[in-house]
Parts: sequence; C-alpha cells; structure tokens
Amino acid sequence: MIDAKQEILNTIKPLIEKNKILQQLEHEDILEIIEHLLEYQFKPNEKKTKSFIDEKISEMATNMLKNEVIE
Amino acid sequence: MKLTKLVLFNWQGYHGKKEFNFDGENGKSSSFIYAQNTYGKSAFWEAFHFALYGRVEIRRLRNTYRPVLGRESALAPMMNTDIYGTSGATFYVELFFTHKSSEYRLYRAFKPRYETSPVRAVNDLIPDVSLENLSVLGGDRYIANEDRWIEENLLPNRLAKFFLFDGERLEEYEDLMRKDEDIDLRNDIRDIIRTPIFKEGNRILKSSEARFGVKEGHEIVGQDKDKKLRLEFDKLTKEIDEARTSKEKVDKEKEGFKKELDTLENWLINEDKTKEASIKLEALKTEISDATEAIKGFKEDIQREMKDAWKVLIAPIVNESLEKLEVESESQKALHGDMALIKKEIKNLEHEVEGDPCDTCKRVRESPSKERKKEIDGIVLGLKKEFDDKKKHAKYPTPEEFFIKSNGLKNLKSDSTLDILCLKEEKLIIAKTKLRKAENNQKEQRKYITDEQNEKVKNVVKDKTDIENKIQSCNEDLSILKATIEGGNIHLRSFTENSDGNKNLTKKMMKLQTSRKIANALSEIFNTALENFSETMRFNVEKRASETFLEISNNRSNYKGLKITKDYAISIINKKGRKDIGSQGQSMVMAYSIIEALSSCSGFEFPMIIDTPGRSLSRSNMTHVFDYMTNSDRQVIFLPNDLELDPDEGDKRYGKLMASTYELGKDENDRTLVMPRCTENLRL
Repeated sequence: MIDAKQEILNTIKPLIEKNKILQQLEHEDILEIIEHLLEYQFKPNEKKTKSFIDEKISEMATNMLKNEVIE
Repeated sequence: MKLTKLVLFNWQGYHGKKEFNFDGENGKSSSFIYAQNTYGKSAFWEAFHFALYGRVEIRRLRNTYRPVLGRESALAPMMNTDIYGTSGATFYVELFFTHKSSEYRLYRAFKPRYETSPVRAVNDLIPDVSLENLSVLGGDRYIANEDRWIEENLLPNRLAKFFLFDGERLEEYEDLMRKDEDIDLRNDIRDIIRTPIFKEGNRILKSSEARFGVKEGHEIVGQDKDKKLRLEFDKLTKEIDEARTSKEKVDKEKEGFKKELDTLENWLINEDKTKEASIKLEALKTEISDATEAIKGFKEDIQREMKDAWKVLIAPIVNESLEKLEVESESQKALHGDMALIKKEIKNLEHEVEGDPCDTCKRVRESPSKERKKEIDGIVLGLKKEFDDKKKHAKYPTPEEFFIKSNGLKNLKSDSTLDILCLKEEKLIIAKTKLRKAENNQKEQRKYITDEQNEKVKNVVKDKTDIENKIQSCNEDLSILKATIEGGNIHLRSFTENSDGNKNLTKKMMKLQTSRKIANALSEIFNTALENFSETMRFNVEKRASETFLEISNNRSNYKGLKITKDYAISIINKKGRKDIGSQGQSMVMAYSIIEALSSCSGFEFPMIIDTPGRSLSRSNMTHVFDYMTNSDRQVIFLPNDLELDPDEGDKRYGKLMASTYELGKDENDRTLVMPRCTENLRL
C-alpha cells in the first residue's frame, strides 16, 4: 500500500531543505499545514483553512525571530 | 478500516436480523458471498452505502435514491416490504470495524416515530445514527457528527466508487481508455491521489502572503509621514478588497451556473431518451433484418423438407424393409456359396469313379473298388438332394429382383426425420417471436423520437448552451479580477519591498515581513512540488496497475503492461512496446487493475466490496482476478453470482484464504436467507 501522505512529505522534504527560509523552520510545523490541507480536501472550509494557515505562519515567524535573537 | 461484522435488520430483502462475520484468525478478513441474481447480493452491497452515507443511489440513475419505504418490492425500498404498514416497523444496518487500532460500531437506522402507529409513510420514520469507539470507555466512546467523521476519517462519499463497486461500473473505467475528453472520473482520480492538496495549498499560501503583505504595508505606511503615499496605499488595498469581493461573487455565481448545468445534463442523461432511442433503433434495425433473413431461410428449408414430407412419414417402414432385404440378400449369397461347394464336391466324386486324376493335387488314381463306387454313389445322391433343397430356397428373389426392390426402397428413403422438421419449425417460431419483439420495441423507441420530445431536448440543449456561455463569461470576469488582484498585490509589494533589510523595523513589522516571506517560500515549494508529486503518483499507479494487469490478464504473454499519461488516459502496451487496442475483456481487466492501483495508492485503508465481479470478464480472467485479490493483503468481499463462481468450487479453491464464506438463498416468502458455508477460520 502506497501512502499518499508519505509521498507528499517525500516530495516536499528536499525542497524545504534547499530553501533558505524554510530550512530554519521545524518540519513538524509544515507537516501540520499539510495535514490540515489533507483533512480539509473533501470538506473545504476556506475561512477555517485561511485562519489556520495565517496563524501557523505567524507562529513560525515568531519562533524564527526568537531563534535569530538567541543565535 | 477493516470490516469485522455486518448486521442487517429488515434491510431490503433481508427480513429480520441477519449477520455476516469477517473477523478471521491470522488476519484473514476477506469473504465470498455467493448468490444467484436477485437473491440479495446488491442489497448487501448497498447496505454499506446506507451505513456510511445514509442513502443509496439507484444504479445508473445519478442523483436518484432508493425510497426509504414502500409497499411494493419493485420500487426496491430500503425497508423490507413485509413490515410495511406494521406498527413499530424499523430497519437498520450495523457495521463493526477496526480503524487505526480501535474498534468501532456504526449503526444507522430508520426508527418509528410512534411505536404504536403503523408505518406507511416516510414521516412515520425518523433517521437514527450512532458511531461508537468501542476501545474507549465511558461517554467519550460516542463520536459526535458521525457523517463528518466518516467523510474525514474513513472514506469520502465521492471516492467510494473506487472501493465499493460492481461489475457494471467497470465500463465507466474503460472510458479512460476510450474517451479523450476530460471526464469526471479523471478529476476523481486526481482527488484520490491527492494532487489538489498542492494546488489548493499554493492558492491559500499565496493569499496568505498577500494578507501579510497588506498588514505589513499598513504598518509601514502608518509610520510614514507622507500623506499622499498613505492615501495611495489605502486606495490600492481598497481596490484589491473590492476585486476580491467581486471575485467571490462571480465564483458563487459560477457555482450556481454549474449546478444548473449539472441539472440539465442529468435531465439529458435520465430523461432524454432520444439519443438512446436512436442507438437502440439502429440496433433493432439490424435485429429485424437478421430475424427476417432467418425466417426466410427457415421457411425455404421447411418448404424443401415438406416436398418429401410423406417420405418422412413412411421412413420407418422403408428402413425396416431395406434392412430385411439386406438380410435376405446375405442369406441368398450364403445359399449360392453352399451350392457351388456341393457342385464341386459331386464333380470330384464323379472323377474318382471314372479314375481320373485328382482335381486339386492332379495325383493319378486307380479305379475305385466296387465297395467304394457304391459308397460314392450314396454320397453323391445325398449331396444332390442337399443341392436341390438349397436350390429350392435360392430361387427367389433373383439378383434382378433384388436390384429392382432395393432401388425402389432406396427411392422411398428420406434422410430427414420428423425431429429435424420439428426443430426447424421451432426455430422458425423463435425467429418470428424475435422479429415481433423487435418490431414492438421499435415502435416503443420511436415514441421517444416524437416532435414534442425533440422540441423539449432542443430547448434543454439551448438552455445548456446559454449556461455554458454564462460560465464562460464568468471565467473571463474571473481572469480579469484575478489579474487585478495579482497586479494589486505586486503593487502592494513595492510598499513593503523597501522594508527588506531595513534594520529599523518594529517587532511587529519584522514578524509580518517574516510571515510574508514564509508564506511566499511555502507557496513556491507547493507549486514546484505539484509536478513532481503528480509524476511520482502517476508512476506509482502505473507500476502497480501494470503489475496487477500482468497478473490477471489471460493474455499476459502478449503484453508489457499499462501506460498512464499525465491526464490519466490509459492504454495497454504490447510486447513490442506499442499501444494495443485490446479486446473488451482486456479493457475490463485494465479497469480492474486501475481501480486496484488507485485504491492502493490513495492511502485510504478501506475494504473492496465487489458486486458481480465477473461482469464482462471471461472465465479465465475472472479466475485470475479471484486468485490475485484473494492472495493480497487487502480485505476483499466478492459477491459473485452462480455463473461467475460456483460456491463449491469457490470454497474449494479459496475457502482456506477467507475469513468466511456465505451463500444467499430465498425462502418460500421470497425473503433472503443467509447460509454460512466456510466459517472455520472465524475467531471464536
């Protein structure tokens, strides 16, 4: 059995590692975005997805800035 | 999801409570449910649709569902017709399954509104559904919003066709090979292999980037003392907002038009029988011409046979006489043979009396003695008497008489028999019935091609074209609005671009700037990944489907596998690496392979429940399908009819691999009987 979710991650991972901004982020945060998109693929809720992604990205940005200060 | 038990109560033809257990030892979970057509296979199959999605679509009738109850079984209502009108009538389907290491019970029913009133109308019943996680204790075991949970966690309704399907549906998959236009199924395939995630992700991340950009812009402009710049920024954001609002409005409008278009298309599919009637008429034309031709042939045959029909009637007597004549002839031949021998013997003896040399060995003999002469005289006398006796019997009939009699009888003989005549007569009647039926059918079909019907179809087609134009106009508006939004966003970026690398930014501005950059980076990788992912999944499906195809095709030695294009057009590839048109049977094998590959690559763990699995498949291909599927790790429940798989043969061949097998029967009241067959693999 081929897991589509795993294939998505396999496709995205090398691209994340090559990206200067994204390589600084936790993979789990990106995984959460993918999981949300997967979950809502068959019950689209634009409002919910937008607010989830905006919040998640803000959270990621906060963590990134925090890490930059520490470094 | 792994199915462990199914309970049906007053479900369609199943009266009372009937159970099917699929919880086998050593992970065995597959099953065969054998039944003749109309014995309850499809009702079993439809029970899953009801349990999971609350309704059952009538096959071949899109968006038309089975009635909840009814008096007549011809309407095929969900509730058993025997309990129609009784007080407290109820029906349910109960599924027990395991999912992600937990055990669940899904119960869906229609319960009586009032226990004491007879149930005769839909309003007399109320729907009831409950979903429990049996691995959890207490009140938490009950899952709220069951339908949503099923869609999100088990299987979305629109993808059920890849797991719950019947042989008839195979033709739809065959279209992937035959039709070039983008059919709905292709979109469903994209859905099942999850490519929309990237497209949708890219779109939402882009809009997120724009939102962060606007917020950042507000921050920057807010700090700037240039009033003109601030006004320009406000004007631009207002324009973008307006464009977004208009876009949402047009999107909604387009959605509405699409629904209208769907309704019209459904009408054309379900109501407009003109096209179908034309096709049927064309086929009937051939049928009528064939039947007419056959009738003409049979009539000519019968006419020819009838000329000598009297011979057919006396044929037994003639045949008997000929046989007798034959016996007589043989006996005459034997008599003449005997007479010739006697004659020769007499001649020999006479020569002996004369003292002539022996006729056979030419030895010189002495004249016989008196006693010997006397003895010879006695023998000759006896032989002559015997000769005369035989001659008396050999007199009639003479060879000439034999010849005349035999010829006469042979002329009366007929190769035809009454059976042949009857058979031809029977065939003639069948051909006539066929012709009559085809002519009536032709009359019936012609009704659909009336002027009135044509006018109706014309109007619907005109409405359809109007709506298609409206959708086209919406698309044009949408592309203008999209360009306005994108252009506005690029313009907006010019307000924030100066902030990049600016060390004097506030914390808020820095956070917004970083968020914008993250959203942009993510949207870019989603965009780049889309193509890679689609290609990877296409390759996975192609590989899996080819493997399956080569396992189950009865013509595998001539094929290399299947080729799937980017648009999911599918072709069979022969050993020379060329596209092969393939027979109808091979197309069906291809369809099976694609379904199996798609459901395997989807990431959804769900059993395959296949009604009439052998429809359009040859016997050998069908056996390969059974062999292949029953040896896989997947849970498969096959519902073959008696022509597709004999229960004894099925149990002998696959029984050991199954969790259980059942046979459906009918009792004297036309109720479905469930008879367990192989149950020794079930867990106690």
